[in-house]
Amino acid sequence: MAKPFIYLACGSAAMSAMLCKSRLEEALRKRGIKSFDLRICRVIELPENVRRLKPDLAIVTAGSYSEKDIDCPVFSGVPFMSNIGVDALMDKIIAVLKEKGKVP
Amino acid sequence: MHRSIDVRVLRVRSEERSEILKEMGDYLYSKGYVKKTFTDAVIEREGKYPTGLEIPGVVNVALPHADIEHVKRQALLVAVPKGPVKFKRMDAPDKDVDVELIIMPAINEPKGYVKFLSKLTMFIQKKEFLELVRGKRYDEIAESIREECLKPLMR
Repeated sequence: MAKPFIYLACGSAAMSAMLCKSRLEEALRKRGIKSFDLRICRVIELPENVRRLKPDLAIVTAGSYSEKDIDCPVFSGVPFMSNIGVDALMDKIIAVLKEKGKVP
Repeated sequence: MHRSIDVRVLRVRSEERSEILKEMGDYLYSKGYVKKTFTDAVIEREGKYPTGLEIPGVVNVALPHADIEHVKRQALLVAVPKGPVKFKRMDAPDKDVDVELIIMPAINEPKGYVKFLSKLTMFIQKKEFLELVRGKRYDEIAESIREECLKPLMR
């Protein structure tokens, strides 16, 4: 089974995306998913990265973006910022990963 | 954590978002934490990528910042404005959020900062911290952040 492949994007590819990445790693492990590919970029680079590298989904924590420009499911990373609503967000993430055959 | 982060609290006089950001940025500049370009960079970034975070029923906070090249020495500047200040939401830039706590990180080593930010975003939701904010107990705000969010990382 191929690894889940997720992009995290914020304004400057630093502060909030890194926090979200560390909380997403933790949440994936908690759900028994030990192997994954998580990458960070700036939100302005996201549409091109998604087109080129085809991640399973993207999580955005800053800035405006238009969903129609991003060719994969996109979720707000705010639950990872506040650590509130992480379970509900993880349910949605897992559902997408299941659909794409990345998790059993 | 490779380098330490100074925690400071500023009693801001302004009541409008950009003016508060200017007051905070200029303070960090006056103390030698950031370059002169920092303040404008924060205000510009806040316009493009707003940082208002709504934590329903707990606290609304903003985390305005600038890219690392504007920072000389790491600091975290906290301000509790006189009344709620309108920021735009990071997840919905067309929507306002009334913010009662503004935290401005001046960071040039984001990697070491993630654990601190992780602790901080949890700690600011705690009742005992929000009591300090709402009581405008400035000295205790800084001290509690140092104790609860920085110290555990130094061990």
